[in-house]
Amino acid sequence: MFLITFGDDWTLGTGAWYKPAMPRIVYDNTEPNYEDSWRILVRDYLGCQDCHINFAKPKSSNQRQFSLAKDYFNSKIFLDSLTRYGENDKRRDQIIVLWGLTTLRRDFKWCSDSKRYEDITLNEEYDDRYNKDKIGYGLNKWCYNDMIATKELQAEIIHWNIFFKRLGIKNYWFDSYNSKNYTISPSNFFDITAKNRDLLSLLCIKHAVSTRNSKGNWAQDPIEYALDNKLINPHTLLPKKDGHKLIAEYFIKKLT
Amino acid sequence: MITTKKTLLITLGCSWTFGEGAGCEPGMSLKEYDKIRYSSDYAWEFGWRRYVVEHFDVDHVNLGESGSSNQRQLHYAKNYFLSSKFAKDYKSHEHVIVLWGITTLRRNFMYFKDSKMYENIFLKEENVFQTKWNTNKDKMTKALYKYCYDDDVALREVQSDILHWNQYFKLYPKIKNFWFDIFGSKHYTVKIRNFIDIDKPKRDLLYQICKNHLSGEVEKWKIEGRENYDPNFLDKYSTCFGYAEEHDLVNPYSFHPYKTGYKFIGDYFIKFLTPHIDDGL
Repeated sequence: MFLITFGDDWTLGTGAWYKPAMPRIVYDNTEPNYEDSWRILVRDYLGCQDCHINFAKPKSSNQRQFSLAKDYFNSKIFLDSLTRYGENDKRRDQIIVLWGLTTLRRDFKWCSDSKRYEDITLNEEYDDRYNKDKIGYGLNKWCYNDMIATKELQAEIIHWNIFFKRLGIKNYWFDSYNSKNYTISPSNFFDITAKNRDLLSLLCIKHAVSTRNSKGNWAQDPIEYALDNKLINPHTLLPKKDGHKLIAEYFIKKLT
Repeated sequence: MITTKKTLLITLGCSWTFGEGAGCEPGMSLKEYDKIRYSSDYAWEFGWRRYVVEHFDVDHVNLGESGSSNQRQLHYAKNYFLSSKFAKDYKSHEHVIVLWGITTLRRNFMYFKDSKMYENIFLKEENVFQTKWNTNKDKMTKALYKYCYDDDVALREVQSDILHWNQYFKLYPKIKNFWFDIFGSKHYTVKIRNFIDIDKPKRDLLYQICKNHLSGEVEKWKIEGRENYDPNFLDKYSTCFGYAEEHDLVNPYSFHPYKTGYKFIGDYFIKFLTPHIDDGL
């Protein structure tokens, strides 16, 4: 089996090394270690220790992930592996693409000041020093529309679904930390019919169920609920080690 | 009863694919031209697509349109090729030919909140930008050009898209797809096997029209060697608009081919496609 992952910090596993009460300065200076992240737990469960490629990046936009996917699936490395397996080879079925979709309020552009691609956050304020911030402000103010962004994302999902299906590759989608209002329901999107299908909601629901919290107040503001109940680390609002374990169990159940 | 032909031709590109200005007659005034410039009837009647469609007797879907950017065409393609319309079109034809024209890199398209629609944007040098309008679209265009644009980066992105779509089309056994440069031949850094005349330094349609017209060596440099740079709507990758304008090969208002130019392009594609189309259809 060969596992390919796409996504943002939630897929990469940023902050899985956070320990309870860890001060910010210690957290920021801790060497990233993804061993406790769900990605690595799933990788190990599937026996993909030596067959895993991860494209998830910190603060990544969906656009960056689509761009990375395009480059990887265009690459000689990938094309050679396909040729090796042949068109009807069952080993193509062994490739699993697990793709986490992040917030729509990010974009990805090459910036002339840094001379590199930057993930852009769509914001109401901007730091005048950086092109990415100025563009993020403009995009937010003049161009962003939730429905349009969702439609564009949906077109990408279907486009890649067709691509993977025709290649004989299994692929799955999930929402990282917010559930979008999709108007399509692809069968390979985890819990697509559920209103709250993202990983943050998963952590909140699990906690609410286990503590018999029947008020459902997590749904109003999952981040606040997760923070109040120490389900995510307070510095970067990302899952902790135990959260990653829960998420890994969720994916393992889905994939097997 | 509508009968389905054996082959479907799908075209993508900008105004040159659509056939903008194809009804223009030499000597026509601007006022007269404006009346027919975007006419889809004229674009079909005198544009190059009809010649190809009628020559090969194929069905036809055109996604190319005036002012379109490469990004907009990619967007249309993504939506068309995932649609049930395409699934039906694909099923009902034995062959599908995709002819995809690559336009200038200095365009894009975006959704704007105030107009509530997608709009084409033309990335320009700041000094020629029409700041008097100062609309949200103008502000965003200026910001994109100033903060996020680079010719080489834009070229790399187009190449990556071309390679991706090549791979995508390859997954459909009935599809044969080809790329062409519309005006301005880009300096691609990868050799794309199905890009028409990729081995030649100049390969765009405007160049083909000019080359066909050129009669001596005196003006050869005007189409072969000059980096004509017009920041209004062109990129740094050289074009032949100077020669075309001097010799009245394009109309003086929007710089699109006349009927004869479009006919020439039609013949050019017929010649190119003939060996690729099984049994001559």
